[in-house]
Parts: sequence; C-alpha cells; structure tokens
Amino acid sequence: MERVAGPFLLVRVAGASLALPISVVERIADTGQRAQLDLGEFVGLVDATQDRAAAIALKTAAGVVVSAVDGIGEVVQAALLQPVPPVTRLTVESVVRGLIRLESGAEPGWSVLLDGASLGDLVAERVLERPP
Amino acid sequence: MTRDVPGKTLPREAATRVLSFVGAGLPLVTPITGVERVVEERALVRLPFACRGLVGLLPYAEAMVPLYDLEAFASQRRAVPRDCDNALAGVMPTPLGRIAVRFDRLSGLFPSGDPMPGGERIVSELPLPLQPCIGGATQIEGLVAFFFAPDLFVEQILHSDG
Repeated sequence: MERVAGPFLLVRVAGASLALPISVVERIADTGQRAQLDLGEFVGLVDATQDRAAAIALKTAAGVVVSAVDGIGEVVQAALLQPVPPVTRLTVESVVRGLIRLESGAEPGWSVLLDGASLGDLVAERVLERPP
Repeated sequence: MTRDVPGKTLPREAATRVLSFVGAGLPLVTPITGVERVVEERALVRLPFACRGLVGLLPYAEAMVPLYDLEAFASQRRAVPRDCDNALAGVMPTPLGRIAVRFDRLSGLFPSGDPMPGGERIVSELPLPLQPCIGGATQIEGLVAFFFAPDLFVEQILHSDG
C-alpha cells in the first residue's frame, strides 16, 4: 500500500473497525440537519446498526452514524489487502485502501482504511438518490 | 512435521488421504496435501463491501487470508462471524493465493475414495453456485461426499457478481 497520510479517525460499526482520514471529517457527534446514512448498513456489514451511538458529519453534504468513535491516531503499520482473490466488490474496491494499525485505538488490532473522499462521494450520492 | 512441500515431507499415504468436513451443509472432502493448516476463526477483520461469501480476513503467517463461508456464498446471504469457541477453517493454497474455507464441522482424515459412477448426476443436484467448485462425488465410509476444489472455488469468486 502506498504511504498513507494521517491522522485517522477510528470508528466502529457492526463489530468492524474502520479508519477514515480526518481530513474528510467536518464534525464528530453532530451532523446538524444533514441527511444521515447508517455506515454499517451502507458498507454492507449489517442490515441496520443496532447501536447508533455516534454521528459524523463529512465534508461532503452528508453524515454517517456509527456504533462508536474509538479515537484518532497515526498509522504505525500498514498492509495490503492480501492475497490476490478479490475480497471486496469490484465496483467499490477503490474505497477500501488496505489495513492499518493506529498508534491509539480502543483495542489493538487491524482497522480497515477507507478512502475518505470516495466514501464521502458515495455517501453523498446515496443521500441524493433518496426521496425527500 | 512440516507440510511445506506436499508429497515430499509427508508420509507417502498422506498423499492419498482426504480431509473430510461439512461446508454449506454438505459433506465435502479435499486432499490433505491441499490443506496447509486448520486454524481457529480468531481476530477476524471484517471488510466493508465484502464480496460474496467473504466473512473477513484472518491474520495468518504474518499476512491476511480471506475467510469464505460456502453457505453464504451459495445462498448469497451475508457472511457473518461465528459466535462460538473452536470455530475452525482450513487454509488452502490456490494459484491465486491462500484462502481459508470455513468448516461447519471437521470430520477427520480418511483414505481417498474412488470417484462414484454417476457422480455428475448427484453433483448436478447441489446448489448451483457450488457445482463448479465440486470435482465429483465419492464415498467415505459408505457415505456420499463431494470433492471440494479450492482453486475452482476461487475462480467462482472471481466470476461472481458480488
């Protein structure tokens, strides 16, 4: 994986740990009047997140709700999504950039690094698709 | 004993043995030489936008190996982590890289049986997405079992629509 620039926001949805570049985040815990998407449902991890404990406003015109915000940290280790067999759906593969470990996090372990800009665009697109 | 060089460091009889397991509710066998290790489902990393049948990534040998659930692959249901102890999976090398396949149950090692006459007909009654991953039918201790081919399964993943 190419060099990844942090810091990153670590969030938890449906038992999965996801990392977003902090540069795509506008606010945490308040999405204002923005349309919100359930991040766990959106990325296909769960039908609906049971625990919507935190909300994040993205710099695109949308927000997401997650189970928890675990912290902010810099990358201490990065890895490719190995091995070769495809592990994510091809149409959105560019959103999942790889795996990282952060220097600070609620629990040690790997987190999935998302391409914040691509995710933000996808979320905004989905919000705009929804009927008012 | 290492199994890095199948057929070379294994006892001669191992090359003719099969590992028997249940996957997608089916009795399956695969040559033991094609199973690198049996591992527990631990420290699983779930992936967003996972492709069909993928449960997540398992840390393995200082790398990550994708763990697949045959039932989820066949039914197109979401594959989820199992909430139990001793959930096992087999790590199997393929030409495209290692994969791990979830075992519903591990039955053991058995001498490899001959292909069953008319096995194609039995295979044709299996769930459609799994049929291309099955290399035929055999009998293990008098019961029908199906040859699971990891390399053919990976081909199916490559060609599945998500």
